[in-house]
Amino acid sequence: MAAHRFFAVVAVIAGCSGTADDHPIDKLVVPRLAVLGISVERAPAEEYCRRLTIDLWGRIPTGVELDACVALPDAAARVDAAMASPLYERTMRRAWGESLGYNNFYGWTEEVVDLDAYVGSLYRDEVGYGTFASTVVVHGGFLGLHRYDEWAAALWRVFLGRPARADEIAAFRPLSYVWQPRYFCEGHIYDAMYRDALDEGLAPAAAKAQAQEVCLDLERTEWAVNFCACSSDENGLGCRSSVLGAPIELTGSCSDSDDVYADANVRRIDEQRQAGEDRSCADGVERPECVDIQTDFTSAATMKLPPLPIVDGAGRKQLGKIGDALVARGDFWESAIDREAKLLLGWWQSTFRHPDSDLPDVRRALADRLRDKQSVRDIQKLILTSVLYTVPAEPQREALPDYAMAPTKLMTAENWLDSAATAVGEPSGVCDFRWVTPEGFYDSSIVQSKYAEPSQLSIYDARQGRGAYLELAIKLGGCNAEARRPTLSNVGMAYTEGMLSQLVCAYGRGIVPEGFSGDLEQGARHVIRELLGRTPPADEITELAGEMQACIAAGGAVGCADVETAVRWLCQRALESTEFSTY
Amino acid sequence: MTMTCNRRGFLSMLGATAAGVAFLPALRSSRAEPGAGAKARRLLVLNLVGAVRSSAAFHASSLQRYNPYGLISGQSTPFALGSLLDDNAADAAYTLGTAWQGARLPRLREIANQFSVLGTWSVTRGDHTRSRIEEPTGSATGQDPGLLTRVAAGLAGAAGRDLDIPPFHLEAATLFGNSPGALGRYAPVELASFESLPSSATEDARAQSRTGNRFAANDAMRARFDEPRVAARSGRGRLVAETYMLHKRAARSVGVRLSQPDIAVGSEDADTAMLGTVRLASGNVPLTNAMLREAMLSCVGPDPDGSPQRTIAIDAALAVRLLQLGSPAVVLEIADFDFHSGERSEGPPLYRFLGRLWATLQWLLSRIPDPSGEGTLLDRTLVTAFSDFGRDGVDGGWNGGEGSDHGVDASCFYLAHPVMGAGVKPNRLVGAVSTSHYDARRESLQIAPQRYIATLLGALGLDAADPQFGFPDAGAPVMELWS
Repeated sequence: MAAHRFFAVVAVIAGCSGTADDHPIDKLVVPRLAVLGISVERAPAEEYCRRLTIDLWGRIPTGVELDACVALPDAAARVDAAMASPLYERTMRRAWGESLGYNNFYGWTEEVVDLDAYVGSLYRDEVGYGTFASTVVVHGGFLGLHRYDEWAAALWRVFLGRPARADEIAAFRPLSYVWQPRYFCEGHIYDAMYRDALDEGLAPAAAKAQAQEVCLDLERTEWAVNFCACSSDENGLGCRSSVLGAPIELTGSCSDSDDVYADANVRRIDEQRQAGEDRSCADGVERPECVDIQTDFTSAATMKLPPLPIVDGAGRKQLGKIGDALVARGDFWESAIDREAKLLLGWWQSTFRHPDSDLPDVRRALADRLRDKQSVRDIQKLILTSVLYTVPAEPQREALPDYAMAPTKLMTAENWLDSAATAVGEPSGVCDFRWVTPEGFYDSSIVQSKYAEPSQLSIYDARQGRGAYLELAIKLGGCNAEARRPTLSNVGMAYTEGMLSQLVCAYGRGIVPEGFSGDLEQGARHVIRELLGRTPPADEITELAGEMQACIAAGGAVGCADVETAVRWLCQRALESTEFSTY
Repeated sequence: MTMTCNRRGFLSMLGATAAGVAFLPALRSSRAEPGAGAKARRLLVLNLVGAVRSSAAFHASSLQRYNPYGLISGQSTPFALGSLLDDNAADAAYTLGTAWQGARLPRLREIANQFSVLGTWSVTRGDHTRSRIEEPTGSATGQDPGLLTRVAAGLAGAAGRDLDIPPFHLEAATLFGNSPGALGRYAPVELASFESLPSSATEDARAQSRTGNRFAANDAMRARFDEPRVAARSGRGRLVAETYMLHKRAARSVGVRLSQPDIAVGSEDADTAMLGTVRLASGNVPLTNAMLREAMLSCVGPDPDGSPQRTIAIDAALAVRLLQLGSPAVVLEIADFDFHSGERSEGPPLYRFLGRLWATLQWLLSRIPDPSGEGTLLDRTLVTAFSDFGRDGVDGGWNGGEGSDHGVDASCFYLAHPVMGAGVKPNRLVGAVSTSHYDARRESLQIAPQRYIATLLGALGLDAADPQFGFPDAGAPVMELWS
């Protein structure tokens, strides 16, 4: 490498914000770029802000938001501002929801809610990543969604970034038996109970409460043992495993280890006893944690559903050994970096070519940093302020590796719908990623309303009827925690987006500029700015205005009836374009 | 411990989707043309998700431990069919309505000598997670393309251009459409079910006029916001942008085609829409959506609306439509075969449906012209079935939950694939094993699953050893099917 070229690169970086030496990623990547003869230049602020907003907020910025972002001094300030919005945490929770596989068919609603909220605390920097993973991996919500051997499969997939091998699943199996005695209140059971209660004539609130009681009975009454199965004859596997590296042995905390199902090991709900008055349950066994549940649903005051931990403190300490072994692995931290890099860069690990789509030294550096600082948010900020993200997406020349340019990704389903609505100044919908029905489709109707995300009437629902947003999102490959989001587009998706682009541009109230005088150039400038997030050059504006004029000249039967139609026509073209849907 | 794995559980375990329209790629401008020496122009695969009890189905045993349901009697085939696949309903249940001129569909036993069975063997079978990857891709890595992707890549390579009618994957639960890396452009169109089809019925005429009626003076105007974006990208970004642009163009043909009424086989509003013809007693008559749906729903039994097989039956009708469009390969996945418990009571309706579906496809495809003009769909379509693997034998025929398990017995490692059409010689058993043990290690021939996939590629006239889309080390295609 020519030394002068390298220093020139560093000088360009330094002129933007700090030096490459300051940045843990840049100091590794910039020398690589220099070898390629690439001079590092920052992307135009509009391009960077559009990319950043879609990644962190899940939609394009409005014109006003774009202006505000562009006005900030540098990438770090823009990232900070974006991360300050609640939209950021929500977008990250959604990403984790897909990774963890939320649904309330298998999962118990309250546990999924709890798990989701915990993810939020990770991105608020309220909990470190090691603690987070250790907790999640034995969280009731996670286990409820991934049972038996699937527990190991999910653990490897989510936290170690690869499918578990058959021998690893088998070796983990002795640990999975700790949960064998537990029943799970599956969402579909809840749903069936709820509907039965409605059929009995109960009001919806009472029906929900009754369904919850059934779930509590199922989950907690009978077999809420502290994994006494570990010492049971029924579990010859013994709750011992070294498959994660460090040896783990769960010894259980049974009052009666000879009989796993002995009454003393069961924290039975006693419907007769008054809470806090005594420790004797109805079966005559004293248990400090024996919990009462009221079954009188005629008044709100008696609808209390007291919490009952599935596993007590001692049990949690035992289970913590699994998380401890997990976070002690080097690949645990590296896979966390891979997850964030894939999310934000798109090309990361999209092939097995090294280093074209994988930078091992960057991964290693970031993994060390994550282990040290424990902050995923910090890692994201590093990526978003690095040359991997801040340079233009357009390469300086052909045949460069992906790390030599900023990423170009495809909008996901909800991102496209929300961005399209935003572009035309209309409200979008909400896909609460935590709930799916037995058919695999989102449905919040079986979820307590207190957990449901607030939703306004979207332009899609307004034009196509209630539920349209959800159906469209599913059609576009999203809005379903079990779905595999397509990383590339497909014909059905393109077709649906084409139809929707027509709809939102036809009826969107914000796409025609305020005080529109009929000046086609004004209309074109407004459309390009609002939809594509850039300020078009004068010659492009002239060409677009000419095309709009041609549409008007064609007449209303086959073209545009008037100037407003011409603006909406340009909107539709831009909205169904490759430029809009890729960022 | 007895663990019930229903369809949902299986999907959940796989992390697979039950959702709407997903992927595709791959379309520029050509119908699938078979390679030189092609036996078939297209494939139709039924994938029996969750592990079929092969030893009680298409290569059935007379031993109780493998097949407590018994055999269909009176057959002269080299493979015995399990009575689990049989349906003793009266002729009326097989007789179609007036649109079909009262035609009677065949029972499975009546067409038993019209197809063959090929057995594959692998001792690594027995784990669902692995089989979901390995059976449709031919390797356990998860990084190799699925059968449908291989077909699209192979045919596109042979034609020197992408296909305009791609492969389709219905009710996707396994990796038949796996398309790693740059092969993403050859991924099939995936439809969760017929309900995922786009529909022209939702077009809003007013919205169209308010947005200028899609006016475009020329192609340059149409591509203004597409081609510059693609040209300004490289590497992964180019792949993403270019694929989107291609799909957008294709949406104007395939997407629009899929949205037309004659594909909407699940919609009563489109009952009279027709595509192609079907040969009946009076001659060729137009094949309407209602007819196709009626034929397939008849496989479900007397109460199709209350049956869990209703959706699959209509999806089967859609699969026929996609073949009529000229698709080179369609995979339809049928779930819920993992009966660790309740097989004794819940298994028979599902297997009965499978038997009827197989017989109905044989009858129907042999009466519909192939879109190439070369005989019937059955003449040019190789139809077969896959599954995760077989199931273990057990003393008494069922485990404690009246189901069957997998992962231990040779009968789990052996899988009998029925196969018909595309000139396959009927009434053969290839890769046979003794039904007293199902252990292919005791036989002279063992056909690996990978070799069977290679055989399917070869059937389309593709070089199955081509490293770009085939298996260089799989061995020669199993030509005994045709000789």
